[in-house]
Amino acid sequence: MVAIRVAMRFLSSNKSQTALIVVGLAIGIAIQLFVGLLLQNLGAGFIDTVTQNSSHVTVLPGENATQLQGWQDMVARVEGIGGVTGVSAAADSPALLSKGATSSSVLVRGFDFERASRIYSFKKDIYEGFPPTDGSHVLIGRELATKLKVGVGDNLTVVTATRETFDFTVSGLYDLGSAAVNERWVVMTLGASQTVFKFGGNVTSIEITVKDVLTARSTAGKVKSALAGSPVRVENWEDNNPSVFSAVSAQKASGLMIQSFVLISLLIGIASILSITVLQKSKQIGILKAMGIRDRDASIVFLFQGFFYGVLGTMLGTVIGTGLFLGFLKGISASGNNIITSTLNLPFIVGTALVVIAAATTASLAPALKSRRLSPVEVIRNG
Amino acid sequence: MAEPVLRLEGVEKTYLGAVDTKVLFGIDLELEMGLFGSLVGQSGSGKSTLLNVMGTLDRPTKGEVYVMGAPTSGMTKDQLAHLRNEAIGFVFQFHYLLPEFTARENVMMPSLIAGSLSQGEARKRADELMDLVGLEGVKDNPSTKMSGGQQQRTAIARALMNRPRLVLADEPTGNLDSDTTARVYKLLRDINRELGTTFLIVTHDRRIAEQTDRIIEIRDGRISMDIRK
Repeated sequence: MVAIRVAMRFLSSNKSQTALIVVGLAIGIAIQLFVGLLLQNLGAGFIDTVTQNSSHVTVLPGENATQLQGWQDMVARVEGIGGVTGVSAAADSPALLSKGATSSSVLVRGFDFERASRIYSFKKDIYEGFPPTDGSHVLIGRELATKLKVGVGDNLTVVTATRETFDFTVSGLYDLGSAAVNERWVVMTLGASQTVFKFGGNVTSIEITVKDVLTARSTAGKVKSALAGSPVRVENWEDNNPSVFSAVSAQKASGLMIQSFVLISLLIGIASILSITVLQKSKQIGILKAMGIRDRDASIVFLFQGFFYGVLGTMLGTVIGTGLFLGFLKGISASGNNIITSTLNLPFIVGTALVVIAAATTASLAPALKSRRLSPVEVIRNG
Repeated sequence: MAEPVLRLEGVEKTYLGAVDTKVLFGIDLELEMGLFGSLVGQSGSGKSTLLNVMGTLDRPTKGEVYVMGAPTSGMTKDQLAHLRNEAIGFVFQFHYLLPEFTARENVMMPSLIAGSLSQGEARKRADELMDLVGLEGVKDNPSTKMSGGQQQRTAIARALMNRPRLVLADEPTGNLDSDTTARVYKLLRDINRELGTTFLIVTHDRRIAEQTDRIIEIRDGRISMDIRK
């Protein structure tokens, strides 16, 4: 097709100008991708950090109740809800933990350890010993172990609110990354907790994690519906942490704004460059029209140039942008910071590439129309 | 009698502006097949405007232009473009070659636009035409790396590429020295004889006009003289 042949020749006849435009575009796209990937991963990393080792949706006893009866049936019903990744019943109670003359106020948490591991990263975070496997062992956190000066194999005494005492052996030590949790949580089997605090077969809460924490509120609604008729209340992470949630939302909005402005500046850049090219090449277009090139083909000469700039700029920009991001990650992970995840969001990268190519072609519409309107006689008359 | 290549009926042209300027007044004219004619007139007499109207590059304000018997006033821009590509070749005062392309590619361009010939056929035809106009050694030269005479001969070869019935040439030797001018005119005359192409050459040089078969003179936008030899 003659229009594409002419366009390619226009591009190749001024290689330095073409290269400059492509590099300019590539830098814009690289910034777009880098900022996009960084914000997404920072957001994801931040949310992961904040919400890991916590329940996203929690089922608690209803008013005037302290325990959940029939919880096994509830767990089965909740497990069927889409997006739910972990369901674990807990039998919790405050208590006093003492070793000799030293004691500390703690929260005893009774779990089915396998199920709880889907919510809390105990498996990864036990740095010494093992999880409790029977009713005589407990798992305690790093700060609590330091405070009570105990280690794996040492004995401890749990004192309940009713002044009853129970002896346990430390089976392992954990560090969940939060000093407050490490100092306060004493983990034992569900059965042990139910015995110590006389819960019978009941539990005190059902903890639930979801795939996307930002859907916690809607999942909570589904949980509520699934448990309709049971005397329970359902809480969710989103409502319990409004400031964190609004910070994440604000970060998302600001990221979107930065990306939009980068895209707009790219579009203006392409449109203005091609407008100048139309002026530069108006004589040639006039000559081609005198020779019989159709207006549509004269437009395609410039639309194709926009498309070409878009494709080449996007390819180069994608390589630079993702390279920059990966290099940046490497740099900060070397410094011990792992708040940013390293997901190369492929749909985002491909989507950005397609948007920029489409935008570059669209930006060449105005110059293409200008070329369409160009009259050959004006060029010939004015030389 | 055979249909004339070009026929103008009551053609008028007015440029609209702050002050409207009427350039052509009721021009009636026929160019017969195989003509080697000239259009003469002083600067500002309207000869270039008339040529542009004849070549369908510009539309008349009034009147009708028939190309190969077909009225052009009702044609769309695309239809006119197709007509120009197929039936009319232009040679301008300034060669107007495309600087991004080689001499051969410039010659091939009308055929590439038409899309009627394969790349190989177009190349072969371009080579023949370039041989005809004496450009054997510079076919692959960038169009900017040639002498003025070579550039103008390339423009002539380009005008002939699609075997048009009519070639309109506007002061084709205006920028050339007298020796080259003589060679170019001889070339046009030879092509006229060999291929039967109709030529109308705009010139303000009476000596050149006198070498043609028909001299049409335009004065103040009107045909003041039309002599056939």
